[in-house]
Amino acid sequence: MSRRNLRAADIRVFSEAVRDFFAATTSESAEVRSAYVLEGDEAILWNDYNGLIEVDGGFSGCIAFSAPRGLLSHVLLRMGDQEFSDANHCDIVGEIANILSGSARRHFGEGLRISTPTALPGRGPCVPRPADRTAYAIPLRWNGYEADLVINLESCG
Amino acid sequence: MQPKLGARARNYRDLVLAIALFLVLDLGVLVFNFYASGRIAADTSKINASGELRMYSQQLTKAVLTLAQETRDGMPFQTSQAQITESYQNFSKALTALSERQDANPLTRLLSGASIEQEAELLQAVATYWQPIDSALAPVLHAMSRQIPPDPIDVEITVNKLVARNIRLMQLANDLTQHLEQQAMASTRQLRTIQVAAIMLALVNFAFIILKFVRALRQSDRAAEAAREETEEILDTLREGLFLLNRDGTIGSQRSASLERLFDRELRDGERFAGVLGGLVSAESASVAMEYVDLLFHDRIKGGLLGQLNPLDEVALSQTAEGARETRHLSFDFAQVRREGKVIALLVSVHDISEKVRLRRELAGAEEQARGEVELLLAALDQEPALITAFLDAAQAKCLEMNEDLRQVEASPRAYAGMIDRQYRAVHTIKGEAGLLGFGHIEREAHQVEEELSALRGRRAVNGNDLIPLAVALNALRQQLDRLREISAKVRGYAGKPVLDPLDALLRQVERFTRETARDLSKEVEFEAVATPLSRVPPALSQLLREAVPQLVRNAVVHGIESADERLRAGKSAAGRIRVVVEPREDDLVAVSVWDDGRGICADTLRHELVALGRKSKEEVAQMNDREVVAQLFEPGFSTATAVNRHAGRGVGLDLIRALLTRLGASLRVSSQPKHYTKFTLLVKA
Repeated sequence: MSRRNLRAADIRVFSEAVRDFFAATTSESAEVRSAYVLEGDEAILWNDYNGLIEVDGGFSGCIAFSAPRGLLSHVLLRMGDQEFSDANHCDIVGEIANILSGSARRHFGEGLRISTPTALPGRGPCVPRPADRTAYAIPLRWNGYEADLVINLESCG
Repeated sequence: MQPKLGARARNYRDLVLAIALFLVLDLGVLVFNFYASGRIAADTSKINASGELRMYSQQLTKAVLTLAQETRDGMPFQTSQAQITESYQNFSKALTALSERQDANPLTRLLSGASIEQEAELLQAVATYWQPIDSALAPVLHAMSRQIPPDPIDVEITVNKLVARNIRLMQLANDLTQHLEQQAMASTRQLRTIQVAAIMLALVNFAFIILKFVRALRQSDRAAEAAREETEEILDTLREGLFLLNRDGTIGSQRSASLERLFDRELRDGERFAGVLGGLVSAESASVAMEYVDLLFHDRIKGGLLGQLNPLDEVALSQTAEGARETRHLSFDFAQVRREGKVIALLVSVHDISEKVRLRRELAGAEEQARGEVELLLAALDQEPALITAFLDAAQAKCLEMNEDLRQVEASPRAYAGMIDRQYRAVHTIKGEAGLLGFGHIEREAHQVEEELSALRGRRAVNGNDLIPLAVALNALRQQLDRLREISAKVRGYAGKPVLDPLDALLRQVERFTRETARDLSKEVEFEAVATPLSRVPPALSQLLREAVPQLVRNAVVHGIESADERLRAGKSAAGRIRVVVEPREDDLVAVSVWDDGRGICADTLRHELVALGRKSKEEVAQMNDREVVAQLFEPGFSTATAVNRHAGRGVGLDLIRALLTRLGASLRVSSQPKHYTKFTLLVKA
């Protein structure tokens, strides 16, 4: 993979993957809101539950999906699950991280090394973000709740 | 291929030999049938003749006895004489016929063997036994032939001979008849056996032909099936699209499976290439491509020579949906398929070259980036650090605001539309200032943001996904600004650059910007800047000179100054004149005027354009006075330029000035005389 900047198409792959996840599992698509750039000193958005994949190879960095507990509880409800445990909430963000991983592999090719998707509960310490690496944040609104998708990738050349 | 051809020739040779044998056998049976039927007829004739010997011997004996009686009684003997003559002649005739029909045919001899000899012996015995009778009858017949009564002694001798020999003669004739009958039956059996054998052979041969033929057919079918499977495997495996384009314009039924993926649609048998292409590329590209295809079907044209003219060598596919990720590029290659010198079809191979195009563009982008950095460095060396800092502070603040706007904007089409307009004005300012300072790379990045905004303006309903390219373009612009700040800091580290008067520095930027714009548009312009020295440059004036004056100068070059030819025809000098004057006024104001000797502002022309652009109806413009019409120049989106380029066409220039003046509390006056001049005067607090 040659050295190149992240393009709109690279970002859109992930926003569409998350949107499609909501459409498939809850029959209600998530509304993708305006993307923006996280400023230099801003940390990657972190919420009640966070799904994360780390990437190395042609691009390095991470892709994270974070959502409040209420959003995920409603997703569980829509899926017919009555048990609103931490584990079940984590499963949802883990599944989304898994989908992001598949999308990254399909879009960027096999040359990309992708970590096992991880699901992290709580607003504990988030992954560090180098200030000189652009991070695009894409808020997604679903059922009145707001989640965030952060794409923090940089070409390694 | 040679062994296959040899095997095929051998198969055909065997088949031809078998058919020839079948025909020979059939013909043999036919000929043998002729022979057999002839022989049966001959046997029948002999049997009849042999029977006649017996009959006529009896008749002759009876007639001779009658003659003897008649001779003794002195009675007339004519009747018996006639019977004797007839019997004698018929007997002799039958005997002769039998002797003559002794078969000399070698085939008959071969088939009959000893039976022929026995027949000859029996016939000889009859003849030997007949001979004394024949001798005795001779004087009697002689007398009769002379119509005189035969000598009774001769008659008596004859009677004695006949009576003595008739029984034996009849016995011999009977034996001969029986022998001939047995011989005929044996021959018939023999012939039947031969016929059956020959027909059996012919049937066996026929069965052989059928088996051989069926086997050859099955082999041929298997070979054809294997070839078909091989072709299908190749076509299913090929990554590139492959198909035959027939002379009637249809796509052949044999095509690679990847073709539908490349075309992103299903293909029906017999579908026309023109229709498929029309759905893939722009109407203009499809039309040019079909002309090229027609050309390739000309028998006298060599396809290789036309390769360079192929309009589909690299073609961008039309976006099929608004959400389509990236433009795909395909490459079509055409090769003529000839038969007997005539082009019967075109073999078309299709490759997806999107990655190649993307890489090439990225390479070009990387080169452009490297050039841009050098350009930034050179421009930074040539600028006053204070001006760069002021530009960077303002531009980065605007970018920050734009990013914040993206973050905070409410998710609704209306809010998005408002944000797009705000961003447009902001980035247009950055672009203008970057151009003024000679930061071409930043100007181009800002132009790219404008392009994205322009694309969004054209959409009916904008959603969040559509805004991603804007965030990316904005980020690229910010990165360029960051880079300039780094370079500027380094340049500032070097000592000793003389500091110009800030007002002079600003006017020098305007002058350079004017010359660059004129050069880009191939116009001749003489620029003059007149400034009354000021104790200090107020921030509002500085901002006017950085943001508003360049827009006005740009408008003067683009819209005001005519081409050299037009100016000469109008009695003006070939080079247009632009003058920027900065002068303090008595009422604590500073006036900045931009004057040009171009075509001026014609209210009637503007009325016409307002109607043509659909911004106003004819009735509305008719009711507007000239001042109101000219005020429309400052409305968002109004542009009289016919094409969008770096310098004109989006209709945000004067709209932006109006917003700036409002923000700074400044005022504007416009004076103009059609065909002579236009003058914009900006008044701002000192």
